[in-house]
Amino acid sequence: MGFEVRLEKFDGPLHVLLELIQAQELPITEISLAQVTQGYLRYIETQEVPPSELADFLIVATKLLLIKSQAILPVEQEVFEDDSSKLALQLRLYKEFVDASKILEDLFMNNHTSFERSQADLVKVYPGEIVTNVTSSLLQEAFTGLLKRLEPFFKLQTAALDRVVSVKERLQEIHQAILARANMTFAQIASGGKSKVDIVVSFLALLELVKQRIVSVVQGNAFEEIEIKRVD
Amino acid sequence: MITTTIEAVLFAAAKPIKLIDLRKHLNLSQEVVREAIDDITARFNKETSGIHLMEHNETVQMVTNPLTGEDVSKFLKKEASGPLTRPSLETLTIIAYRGPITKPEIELIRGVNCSLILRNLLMRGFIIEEQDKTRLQLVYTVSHEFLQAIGLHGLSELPEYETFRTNEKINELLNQEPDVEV
Repeated sequence: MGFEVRLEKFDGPLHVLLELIQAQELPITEISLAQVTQGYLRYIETQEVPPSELADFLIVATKLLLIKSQAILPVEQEVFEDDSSKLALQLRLYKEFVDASKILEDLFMNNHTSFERSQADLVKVYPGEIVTNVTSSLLQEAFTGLLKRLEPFFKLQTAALDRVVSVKERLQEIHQAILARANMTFAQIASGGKSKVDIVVSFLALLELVKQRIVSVVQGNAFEEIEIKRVD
Repeated sequence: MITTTIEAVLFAAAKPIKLIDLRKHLNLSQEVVREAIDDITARFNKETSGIHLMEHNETVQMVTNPLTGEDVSKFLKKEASGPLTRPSLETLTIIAYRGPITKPEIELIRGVNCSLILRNLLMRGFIIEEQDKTRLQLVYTVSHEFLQAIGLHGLSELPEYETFRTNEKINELLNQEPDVEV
């Protein structure tokens, strides 16, 4: 694509001709065309004209050479007059469009722009089924049912929170106790417990204290009393 | 009432609507449609109106007031299109002033092959290509999108539009050189 982009930006033969004439501030006449023939031929030689446009460039070149030869040999002028004035006319008209294109460019580059109403890119909404047999009491029933189903979930959350807090509290309790007494048993700690969960929490707190090397524990046999000692 | 209906249709349709379609669907005469469109144009195409009516190529469309372009494009987050190359601009100018125009005619004025430029302009949506039924050739006109981009309500607002359109010299050039193959 790179090549094509370059091609599109390439000036046409008439544009090259126009620039040559305007550079010398000449009016667009056959005489001025004859004067810039040399410059035009040099342009074709030195610039890399795209092959697809070379033919167009050469057509203009032959017309220029014709005009130039007429200027040198005025005798034959009558025969070719038509063709040479045609190129000048073509160039003059071309210049009109080039001038007008500047107006268009201004219009294109300024901020004055209209917009059409865009069709919203909405996802199609399907109307869905229309339910007719619903009463407000049915809705209330459904909502109550929903809340009931959610209950275990809320309970679970509270329980989990309780346990975390309890372990931490129990740990501090046991820690205080062991600091005061140096020796104690697990039965003493658990005796204040009201439920199985409480005992489990006490045990977890004890394990944590062991892990932190605050206490050491000894148990003779399975299910026997756990002796707790302070680590000094 | 007809004017009101047409106005409503134009608003609802958003897209360019052919005048002939308005006639057919609403079962109206050409004159009545013309009158209605003129009425809508007179009422809408004012500085104080946010909505304007654009008429181009026998089609009409409701668009935003060109003077609001900067703010509307900011709101819609539309980026301005990049600048056009000079050959593209030249070609667009020729099509705008002289369209519908055939490719050989454009090439006669520009003196160079324009296939590539025309293809690029078509891809960018600035021009449209149609089959001319009488000339049996492809002809090019600028699109509604291009008119929106340059913020005009119609090509007749282009400076010296009529002079260019009816220029005898251009007609002469386009008619007298059938031998040029480009």
